[in-house]
Parts: sequence; C-alpha cells; structure tokens
Amino acid sequence: MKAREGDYAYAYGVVSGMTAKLIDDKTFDELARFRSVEEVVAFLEGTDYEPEIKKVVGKTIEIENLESALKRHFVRIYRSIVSSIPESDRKDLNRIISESLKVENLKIIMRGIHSGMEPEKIEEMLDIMEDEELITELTKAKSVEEFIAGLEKTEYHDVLESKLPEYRELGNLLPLENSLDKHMIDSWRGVVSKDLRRFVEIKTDTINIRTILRCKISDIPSKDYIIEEGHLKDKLSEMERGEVKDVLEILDRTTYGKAAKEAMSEYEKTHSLISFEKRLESDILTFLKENAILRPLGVFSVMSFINAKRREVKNLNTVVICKHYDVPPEEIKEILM
Amino acid sequence: MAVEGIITTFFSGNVLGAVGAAIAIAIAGVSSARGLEIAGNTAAGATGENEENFSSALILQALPQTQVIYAFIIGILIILGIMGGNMTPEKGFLSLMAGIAVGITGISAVSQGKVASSSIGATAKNASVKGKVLIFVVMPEIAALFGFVTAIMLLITGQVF
Repeated sequence: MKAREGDYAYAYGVVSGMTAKLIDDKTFDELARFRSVEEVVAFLEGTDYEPEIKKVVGKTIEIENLESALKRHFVRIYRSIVSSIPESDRKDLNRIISESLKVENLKIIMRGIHSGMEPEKIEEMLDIMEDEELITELTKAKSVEEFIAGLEKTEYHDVLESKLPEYRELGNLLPLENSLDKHMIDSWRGVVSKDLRRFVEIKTDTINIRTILRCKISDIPSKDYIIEEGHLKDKLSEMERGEVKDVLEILDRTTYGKAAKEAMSEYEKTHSLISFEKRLESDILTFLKENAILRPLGVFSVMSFINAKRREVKNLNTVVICKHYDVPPEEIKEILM
Repeated sequence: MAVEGIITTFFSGNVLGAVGAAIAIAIAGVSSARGLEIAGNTAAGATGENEENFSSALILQALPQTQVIYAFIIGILIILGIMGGNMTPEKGFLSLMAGIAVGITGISAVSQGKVASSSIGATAKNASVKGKVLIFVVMPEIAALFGFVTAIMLLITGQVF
C-alpha cells in the first residue's frame, strides 16, 4: 500500500526536531578555530554525538576511533529516521540511500587506485560506509584488478569484472564507473513511492548527462553506457550524436537549462566540465530541499535531512583530521562543504 | 398507504433534524480526528527529539479540534429543537441544511491538521516562528467558522431552538 501524506507526519516531526540540533555554519567556523582535537571532542560531548564520543574517549584520543564514532553516530540517526517513515517506503528509501553510498565509495576507491593515491589519502576521501572493514581493505589494493578481486563475495564483482577488458583497452575508468551506476539504477527499479521514482529519474538523467559528456571528451562512443530511462529518455539519441556543445544546447531546452548555460560558458573558456558535474549533483540536493519545503509531509523532508546530516558528519570528520594535522583555520573553512 | 406513511415519517421534522445533527457531528468528527492525528504524530516526533517542543506543539495540534466543537454545538441546538416538540418539516429541513453546512466545512480540519503539522515542524526547527506560524494554522479555520455561522443563522431563521 502506498504511503499517504499524513503517514509522514511522525517522521517529519522527528526530522524537524533533529534539524534544530544540526551544527550550523557559524559553529563550524568556530570549530575550525578551536586549538586542538581535544577541544572539538569536548564540544561534541555536549551535543547529540555524546553517546558515540564517550565510548571512544579515554586517556588518549585516537583519530581513527573518533572518525568511526562520527560515522556510527550517522548510522544511528539514519536508522532511527528510517524506522519512523511509513513501512511501504522504508525498504525503498533504505535501498536508495545505502546503494548510492556504497557505489560512491567504490568509485572513490577506484579513482584513488587508478591515479596511484596512498590508501590513507583514499580513506580520508571516503563517505560514510556500512561495511567499514571491507572498504578499508579495498583501499589497500595495488591495482584496479586487485580491487575488483577484493569484491569477490559481493554483488559488484561480476558487474565490474565484465567491464575489465574495456577498462584495459581504453585505459579509462568510465566503463567501470558506468557499470556501477547502471547496477545502482537497476537495484532501484520497482520503487513504489511516486516521489522516490521522481528522484530515481533525476538521478538517471544526471548519470546519463555525465556519461555522455565524459564520452564526448574522451572520444568514446556513448551508446553502450546510456541508461534508456529518465526524463531525458527521448533526447538521449540526439545527445549521443552531437558534440559537447550540441549536448549542452539540447540540455538548455530542458529543466537542466540553467546549469547547461553556465556549463557552456565555462566549457568555452576552460574546456572543462568539472563544475557542471558538481552543479548537477548539487541540483539534486536543491531538488530535495525545494520539495521538502513544498510538501513537508513526504519522503523528500527525510532525504533532505539525511543529506544535511551526512554533510555535517563529513565536515566534522574534516575538522577532526585537520586539527590533528594542525591545518590553519582558514584552510579548514575552505575545505568544509 | 404504507408508502405514504414511510414518506411522512421520513420527512418529519424530527427525522430531518436528527439526520442533520448526525451528519454534522459525523463528518466534522472524523475530519477533526484525522487532522488531530496528522498534527499529533508530528508533535510526538518533535517532542520525542526535544521536550521543549511540547507546549508549542500542543497549541498547534489542538486547533483542528474546533471543527468538531462547532458541529457539536449545532448538533445540540438541533436536538434541543427536537426535544422542544415543535419540529415542523420546514424546521427539520433547515436543521438538516445547518448540519450539512457545519459538517462539510468541518472537513477543513484535515487541511488544518496538515498545516499544523508543518507548523509544528517549523517551530521545532526554529522556535522564534511560533507566533507567526499560528496565523497559518488558523487560516483553514475560517471555512469552518463560516459554516458554523451559516448553520447558526439557519437555525435562528427557522426558530429551531
């Protein structure tokens, strides 16, 4: 049975109460100015993070333990919110959030290994994760092939292994990253809620736009990498045929027009689309926020809060690591999301 | 003859009045309960996170209850009319109309519950908007208030009580 608007009333109350406790930007500025990790820990002991922080604080403070405590806090909050939403949407939302976190982390590790980064550096870039042990182990892989072998007992192994020949031939991560994206969208098929289906469509569009543009830049045919779904489904073949500029012009006539217009001027100057890709990702968050305001009694309020909490935990993680390495406050502020 | 008797009984002032009172309380009652449920769930969630949200949540949650109070008053007035023993078919018809007016406008309690729910959320996020959001929650009340006034006027016009 589909969830009705009123069924989200309790979850909305929980999320609203939790939103009030989120650490605001002003406090993050203050945290950046704290003198030591100990001061940050003392601050966190007076917040919602207390139960997790108390467990890891002893005579000495280990950074790794603190990082785990922050991630555990996120998992606790996440579980408590998900348990408050209507049962009909619970499984789907869980599937969407957990799969996107997993895929995002796998991509970060793959990129890190491909570009020869140190395991510690890769670990610092990772998002909140469920299977911490496996993910940490994967960062130590010496090659992409070894990384895929490390995923043997997971559903991602076969998905990635089938694209290994293409990766070797092209020397580009695109086939592997795309196979993960496709697997993620596949796993989201059959979501019941209309709102979640809208989210999946927007995410599909974002992946398709990114893939087509990356293919154009790397001179790879995009046909095999496209997901034939989403709002842009009818425009995909037209987009596949043109150049980067043509793709942006087609997008200009869609809901992605504003972002495409900005991308066009940036592309003409720098021949780079990095900020466009970032813009597409941040547009998804804006979509969630706007819909959460328009219809507070719905799944978007919950998703919007989960994103805000995720941002908070990532920022706290950054502050803790930066304080440990004595990074100046101004630099910390620049790194914060 | 039997059919005529049934029609006469059904369209008697007492029966029409009783139907009016029942419609008023049933529709407005169900709507108020639904509105209170929606707002109450949000209030429970917000209070569970922070007990300080309790008092403002309680005020906002209570507002969708007024629709059933209006309906209850109209229902009582109609029943008083029936008990007075002078309920003509004309008075009964006006009572039925009064019941329909207050009952149907009482459906606004569901919308009010949703606005109250959003407002409880807004107050939980930012306590300083407590007074302002109260205005938003009161707005859907106007429909119910008009229904109530119309119902009272109908009863007065018909000299039901």
